[in-house]
Amino acid sequence: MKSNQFERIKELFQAALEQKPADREAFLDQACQGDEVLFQELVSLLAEHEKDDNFLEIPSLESEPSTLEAGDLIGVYRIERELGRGGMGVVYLAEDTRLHRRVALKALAPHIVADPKQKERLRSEARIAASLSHPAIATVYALEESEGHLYIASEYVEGENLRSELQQGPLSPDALLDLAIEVVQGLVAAHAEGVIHRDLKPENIMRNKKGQLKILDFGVAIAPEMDLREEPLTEPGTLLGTPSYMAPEQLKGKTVDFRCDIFTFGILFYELASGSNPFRGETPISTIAKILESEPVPLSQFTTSPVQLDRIVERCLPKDPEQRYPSTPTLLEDLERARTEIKSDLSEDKTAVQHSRDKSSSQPSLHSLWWVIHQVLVLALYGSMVWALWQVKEWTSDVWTLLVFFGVFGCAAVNGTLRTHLLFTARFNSIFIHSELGRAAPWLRRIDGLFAALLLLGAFALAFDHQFLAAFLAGIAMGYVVVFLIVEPATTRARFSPPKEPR
Amino acid sequence: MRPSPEVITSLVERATAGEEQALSELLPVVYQELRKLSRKYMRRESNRQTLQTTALVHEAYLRLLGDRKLQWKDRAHFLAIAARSMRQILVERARARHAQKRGGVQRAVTLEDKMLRQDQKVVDLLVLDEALKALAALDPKQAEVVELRFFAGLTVEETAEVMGISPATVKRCWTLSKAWLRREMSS
Repeated sequence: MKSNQFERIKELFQAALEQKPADREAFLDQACQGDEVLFQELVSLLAEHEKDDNFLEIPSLESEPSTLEAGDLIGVYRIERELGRGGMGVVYLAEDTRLHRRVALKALAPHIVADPKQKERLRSEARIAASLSHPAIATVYALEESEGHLYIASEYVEGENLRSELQQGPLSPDALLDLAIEVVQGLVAAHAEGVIHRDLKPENIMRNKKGQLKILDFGVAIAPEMDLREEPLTEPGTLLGTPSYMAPEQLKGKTVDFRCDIFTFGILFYELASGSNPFRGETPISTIAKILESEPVPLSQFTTSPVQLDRIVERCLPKDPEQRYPSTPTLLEDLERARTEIKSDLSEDKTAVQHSRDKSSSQPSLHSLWWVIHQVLVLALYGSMVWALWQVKEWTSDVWTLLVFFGVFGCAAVNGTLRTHLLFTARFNSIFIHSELGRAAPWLRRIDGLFAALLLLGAFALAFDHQFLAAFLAGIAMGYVVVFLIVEPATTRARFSPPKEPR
Repeated sequence: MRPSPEVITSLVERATAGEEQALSELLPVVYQELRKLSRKYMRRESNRQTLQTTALVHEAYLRLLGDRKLQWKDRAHFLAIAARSMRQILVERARARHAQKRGGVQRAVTLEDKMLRQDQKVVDLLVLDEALKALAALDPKQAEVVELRFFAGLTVEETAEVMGISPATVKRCWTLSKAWLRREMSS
């Protein structure tokens, strides 16, 4: 672009600003006389001009967040180095010169402390947060005020945050529940003291080198400021400064209570289980719309999550706080219950797997083997009956006898399939075995009844010409009635006890 | 160390008159003084509650020139030099911080690392510096207004005085510069 062209831009920009906003585009269209490049240039400049934030309005030094350097002292804290900076301020690694321990010192950005109400809230909450003592909460040590600036000293956690854990894909149900229970135990402790987190997200939860989880910024977090630019979020993971982890009431600017943490915990839980944020939209605006309006897809619809996880998500993510868990301990109880249920399913699965690898069986694997043997024997019986009747069909031309044979054949095919399905589920999808057993059992029973009855009928039909075969069939039919009425329930119970009753 | 106020006064006067030699002697002095002061300011060692950018520049002026009264032209020139120096100081600092981050220091706390990019309240000075250079190539006046307003913290009136143009012109330049820079910086 040449300077004389810029002169023209300056002139027209000024002239356009003197027009009413609505008339500007029409004005420019005329003034540019078909020079499309010039027109576009001016339109884009006017668009920038309309965005009335404080861009460059605060002189350089004031808009710089405080910059401390190694060796600087804030109260008793000596700065070692900067750890990170962001909208809330700058976080430094510092040393407590009295207690000789490392702390994370957060210098709150000037624009946050500028609001006296917010400052007062931070002050009083930090005071309460400092009284919280829980292994899952990074302890707030002190609040320092120095020349109008607010500093928060808290436990320094070395390790990785959950964002990096998420990048390795979703967690398995039992790992997820272990993690969730640890986080919620922290929440319970804080909520009991009336401290709300307000900004629970993967970035704020760290795993230290011992593997313990630590929630950062308890009570001293500020709801993220919204960044409503209509730009696609290009990089997965750059959700910061966007409303992806906010509750509907936060978005609406209503006062929030502990149930806002339950909602954001629900988002976190969902994301850890599935690998994706349930409300993630293309742009921040669409994310907000989803948080306010759309219901997340149940986890079990696109992952192999057990139904217990759906139940938890359903009670964390209602838009109306009243419909969420009424208290954080209730949520914790539900998580613990789900863990027990899922772990017992899994351990059975493991036993079954272990058994197939290792024949030196212990008591539970003997049960599971017994059930498998039972199923396999029944399948063999179906096969041999079909085979046997097929062999004798030459001996008779009676239509009724043929119908009996076809009936036996059909029953064997249906029940054979059902039993194979159960065997497969128990081996590879053991989490669903109870529901599958529940669905299959009535049909198995009916069809097995029919199967035995047809064998008896066949025995009658053959009774006049082939007494020996008829007696054999009748014996098998009677025996089988005993097997499916008495033996099968016993082996199934032995394999899948304790029976799961819906609570 | 620091030249006496008399020497500096004459340096400013000679620089205003267009003497290259005087300007090249004056620049490092102003730069050093502002650097020292801004460090102090940033480290909150100063006992004042709030020290404004503009106050910082004026303080540098007082320390360098004492209570000598300069011709307004000379004073304006001094402020322009101060604004240029402030820009240099802050950009250098941003660059150092940037290099330190890139330097592979294991950063244990990833807390809010990424926020900077998305937060509009914190201006990326390195990007601003580049955009300002591009703007200066089109129209040096536009860039100078930004330097005086943003880096030296001068008001519209002070800027007008320093540049020898009307406040209304300063305002117009300021509006366009901001729109232009923001577009440049977001692309």
